[in-house]
Amino acid sequence: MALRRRYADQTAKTRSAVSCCGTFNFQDSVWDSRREGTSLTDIRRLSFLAPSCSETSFRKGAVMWDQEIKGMASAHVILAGTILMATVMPTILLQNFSVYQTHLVWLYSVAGLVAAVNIALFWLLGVGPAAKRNSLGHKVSRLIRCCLYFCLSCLFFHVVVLLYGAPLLQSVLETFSLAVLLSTFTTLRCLCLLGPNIQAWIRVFSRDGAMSVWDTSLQITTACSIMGAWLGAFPIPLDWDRPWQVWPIPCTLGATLGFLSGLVIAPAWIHWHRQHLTYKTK
Amino acid sequence: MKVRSSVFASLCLILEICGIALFLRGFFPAPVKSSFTLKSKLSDQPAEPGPADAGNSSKVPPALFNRVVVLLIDALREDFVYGAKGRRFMPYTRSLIERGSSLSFVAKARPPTVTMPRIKALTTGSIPGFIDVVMNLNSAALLEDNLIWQAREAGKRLAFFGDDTWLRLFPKHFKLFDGTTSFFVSDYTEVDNNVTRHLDAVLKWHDWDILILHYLGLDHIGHLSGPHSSLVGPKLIEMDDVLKKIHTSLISEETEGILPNLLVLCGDHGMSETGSHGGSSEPEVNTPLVLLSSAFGRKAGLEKPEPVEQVDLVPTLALGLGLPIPQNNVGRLLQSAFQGTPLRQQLRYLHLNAVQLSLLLKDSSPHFHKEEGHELFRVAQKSHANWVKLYLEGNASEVLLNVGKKVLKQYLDALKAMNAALSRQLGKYDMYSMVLGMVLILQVLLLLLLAMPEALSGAAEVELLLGPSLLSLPFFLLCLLAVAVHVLVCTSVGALCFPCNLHWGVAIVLFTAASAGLCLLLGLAARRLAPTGRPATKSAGDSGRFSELDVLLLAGSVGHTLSLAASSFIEEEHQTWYFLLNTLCLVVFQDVCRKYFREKRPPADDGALLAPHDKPAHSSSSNRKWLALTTPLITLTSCRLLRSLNQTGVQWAHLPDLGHWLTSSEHKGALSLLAAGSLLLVFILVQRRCSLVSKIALVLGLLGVYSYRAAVGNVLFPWQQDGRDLSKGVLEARFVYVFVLGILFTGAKDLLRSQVAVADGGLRSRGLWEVYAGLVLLAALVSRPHNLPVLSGCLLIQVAMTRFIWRDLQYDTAQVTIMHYWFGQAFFYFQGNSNNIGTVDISAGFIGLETYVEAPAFLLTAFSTYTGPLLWTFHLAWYLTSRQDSRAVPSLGHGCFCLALLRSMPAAAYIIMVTALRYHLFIWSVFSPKLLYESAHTLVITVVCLFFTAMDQKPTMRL
Repeated sequence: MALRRRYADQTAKTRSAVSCCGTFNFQDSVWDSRREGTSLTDIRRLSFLAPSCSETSFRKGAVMWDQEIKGMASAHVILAGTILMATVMPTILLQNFSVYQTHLVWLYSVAGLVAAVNIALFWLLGVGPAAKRNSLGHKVSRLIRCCLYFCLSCLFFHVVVLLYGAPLLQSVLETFSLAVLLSTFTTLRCLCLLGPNIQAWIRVFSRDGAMSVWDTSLQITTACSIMGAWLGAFPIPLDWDRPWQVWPIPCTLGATLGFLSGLVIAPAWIHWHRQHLTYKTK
Repeated sequence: MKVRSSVFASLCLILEICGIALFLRGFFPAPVKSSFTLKSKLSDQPAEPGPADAGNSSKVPPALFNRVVVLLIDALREDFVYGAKGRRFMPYTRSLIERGSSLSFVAKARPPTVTMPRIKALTTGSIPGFIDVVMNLNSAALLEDNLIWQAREAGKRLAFFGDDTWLRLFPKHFKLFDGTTSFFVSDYTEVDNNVTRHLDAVLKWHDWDILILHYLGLDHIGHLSGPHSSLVGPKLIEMDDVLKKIHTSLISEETEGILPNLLVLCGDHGMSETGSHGGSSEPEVNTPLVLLSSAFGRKAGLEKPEPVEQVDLVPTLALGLGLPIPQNNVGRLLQSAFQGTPLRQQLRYLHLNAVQLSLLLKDSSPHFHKEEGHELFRVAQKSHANWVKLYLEGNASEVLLNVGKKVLKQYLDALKAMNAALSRQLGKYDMYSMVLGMVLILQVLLLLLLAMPEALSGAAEVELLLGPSLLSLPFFLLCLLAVAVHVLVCTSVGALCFPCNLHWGVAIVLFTAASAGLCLLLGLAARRLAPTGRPATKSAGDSGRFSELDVLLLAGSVGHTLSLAASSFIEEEHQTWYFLLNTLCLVVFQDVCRKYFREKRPPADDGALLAPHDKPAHSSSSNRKWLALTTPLITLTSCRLLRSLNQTGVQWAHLPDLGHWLTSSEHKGALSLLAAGSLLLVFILVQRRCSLVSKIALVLGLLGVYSYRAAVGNVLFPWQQDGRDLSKGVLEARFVYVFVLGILFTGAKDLLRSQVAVADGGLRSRGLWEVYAGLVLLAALVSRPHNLPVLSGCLLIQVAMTRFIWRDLQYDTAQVTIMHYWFGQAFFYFQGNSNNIGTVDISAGFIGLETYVEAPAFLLTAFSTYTGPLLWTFHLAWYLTSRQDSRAVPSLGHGCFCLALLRSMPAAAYIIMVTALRYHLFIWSVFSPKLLYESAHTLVITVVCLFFTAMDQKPTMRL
């Protein structure tokens, strides 16, 4: 039973307050089915559908489901708009600004704005992890841990990019900026959504581990950002001598485009699969 | 008929090799050569056009120069003389160029910019085909018509000092000679002192007419530390002094009454920004060509040197020495060198050159009448005849001069047009052989693809309907059709295609094989497409669960194949492999994490219950877990370190790398430590599975490797005296060879016993490991000392991956094979190889040999080039055999089949792309070398697959 409470606890963190009760029910049924010897994969598949089958009434669930998708989609639109703003605004405010020549300025303006909007969005929507204790000290320690995790993730991405062959000593700043951008697109969203909770991260990023729309959107945008940066590296060896082939512009552009496409793909994918999957569970 | 998949794969690869050979024969143009076997003779030179009674018109005009010295400096770049470096380091040469009586040109060398083809070009005047590069190792005597032969026939006395390639090309041609091997690339002083020490004596003696000096030091400096090295300056100053010595000596001998002497300063090829050569970049192609003689007028100041072709020197020298122009020459004479002679003589020189070119053109192209050059030549010859008539009539000088100038111009135009026509000839492809080769290669690829489900099934056997398909009607129809097409093509195109010149028996065998292959293919295709319920559902179930790893392996293999269509991706192919390998390691890391963390979670949740039972196994398993988790990270780190060892490719090849740092003489201590450490690591990693005898042999062999490197002078020996001479290290190397053979022999013995005796899988896997250990020892011997970490890194990754990843994560044979292949490719580039011919380490072919012996030199060079792929595939053989014990799956057959498929996919795709891009700008500089590399790689994999097939023998014997 201890485990059961823990399960419930965890879901409570990740779910909005409205659907909380439903999830409880669902988790109970999952737990029971496991007891009865249903295979683990089945449960995982079910657990992905947590929001939709949480209610006994399909219609009610579907409405809520739609609401959630709409909320997420609008959040994504705002984020995409932010990136656009971050590109357009410095052009107006600063002289001699161009995405290629003053690339780092662009990069940090995008990273900063996306970070700010992300934090604001999640705070306003209240999707983020529910705090167990609301004491100030606890909040501060969480904040510090978040910052620490963010820095660690920057370092992690930096090391990965180095392993991929980025020069070790030259253009360290450029490489690190790429790491910061990638962390903004991936880790920051995880921190906002899941908090500094490694267990939750592992759950979300393991196969079929998503438990809400937001988890799936997180999975998709993260994968898309990283894939974008990965694909962005391809034009580097070409001998075209274009201004956008300078390190790390292809990768940052790739990551940004990947993130943008992730923002578009996530609601679409969920919407499409929702029909499919609800049908299946019925 | 059922065939095991390994046998099937080997057969396919052999067929593919035939196809590639045929394709290469058609792709690389046979060099433009006249079919006459005789060489040009002085006696049958064309007569001067004009009236028949013009007197001594059929004679070659007399020589212009008395003695000629050719100062050939290897890898002398154009800017080393004409640029800022020249001004600083070659003051004497520069003063002669600017104010002396000299002619200066920028001579463009044709790629491949490698020494031997360049020497051939400089002596025969022809442009050696690309195939000549492959023959660079094997420089057999030059049989074509060439300047050196002509000079010797004309009774000139020749002397030669320098690179001994000349002595191999022209045996018994030189009266005085002393060859230097370009064997020790690390030595850039001895090679040149060897030449210069003869200089004083030779310049005093008068028993030579032509002296050729070939200095190698500059090239060695380039290879060691590049064109901007601090060593280049002193070397150029040294060369300037040599030139000064020769020039003053030649000037001082000149007296009234004898002809002036000539000094030619030239380079055979340039040097890229990294110091290598072989490609077609501007700095590699542009070399200086300076002619110094009192016969030329004095210059007023520095002019911009005129660009010419390197081969243009050949007719100029030939006519300047009064020799016939070599038959295969495509060069045009340097008109400015003959400016001082009377107009009649100038026209006569041009006429001789034009006649020679027109004969060559007539011989190499059946439609020479339509060529513009031929027409221009006829017109020029006609007006030349008129001019001679006018001249003999003693016409007014002003008119005569003007007409003569016009004729001169006509001749120059004709020469230019004919030269262009001949160059075009070089780019002609034999499409018929290419298409035949492509058909064979595509057939093989399709066969492999269609047979894949069967070959990778549990039985690992492919059902070939050989009997029915050979007796079927389509087979005979196809044979007839093929023969009919062959006859049609050959009668319409003529004898220009290679397959048409084949013996009819060979041709029929070829066509029968091709049609049989096609029939088999159709049979297989019919069987695949036939609606059989069971296999279809099974494959659907399989393809439904592609893991990330499968997606990456598939996408990576296909993506790499597609990337070969872009020249930049070929130049930077190492980047593709490093990138894929890194991603592979990360995906494997994710798999490991998933295995250890996800499966850990449920026990962690109710850990209180399970903990007591878990305790004993816990510590070792958690240890194992952490080791497994660090393995991909260690692999990633070592790959990152290894890739910074050798910068290859083109765009970033000039960046400093660890290899250059290590090989520079100041860091010999560090290199010695690194080499010793790597050898120690190699020993530790290899000895675990060896028998005691092999262990001892391995220790002695590795010690021998170190002492060989010490003897050659690459590394320091702890108790070595400073004054010890460098030697070739033949004794030490042979010492190592003995142990290599010994270990290989013990391995082979075990393998044979496992074939004959009871089915003992352990014996076979031990034998395979011993064979592998022998190869590792050989690799340690032939790889350059700074590349020894590549070897130890390879072993480290293999051991770690085997222990913690491949077995534990239960990757199937196909996955493991693809991973081995990828690692092999990445290690090919870690060694410093690239898709440029210039990076092949030829010196490996001389290890342990006193003189050049063709077969071992070729094998050793091939082995040292393909060390990475070979070691990984042999490791694969061992791994699959050792795993086979536990499971009853024919892994070796699967592995062999996967290797064949992995190799034929890029090979077939690349050959089609090359055919499509055959008029691309970079076809000779980028795509052709890559084609050679692809073919060589396919050959290597074929050999490996044959070995796999031999190892896979057992199951059939039991069946």
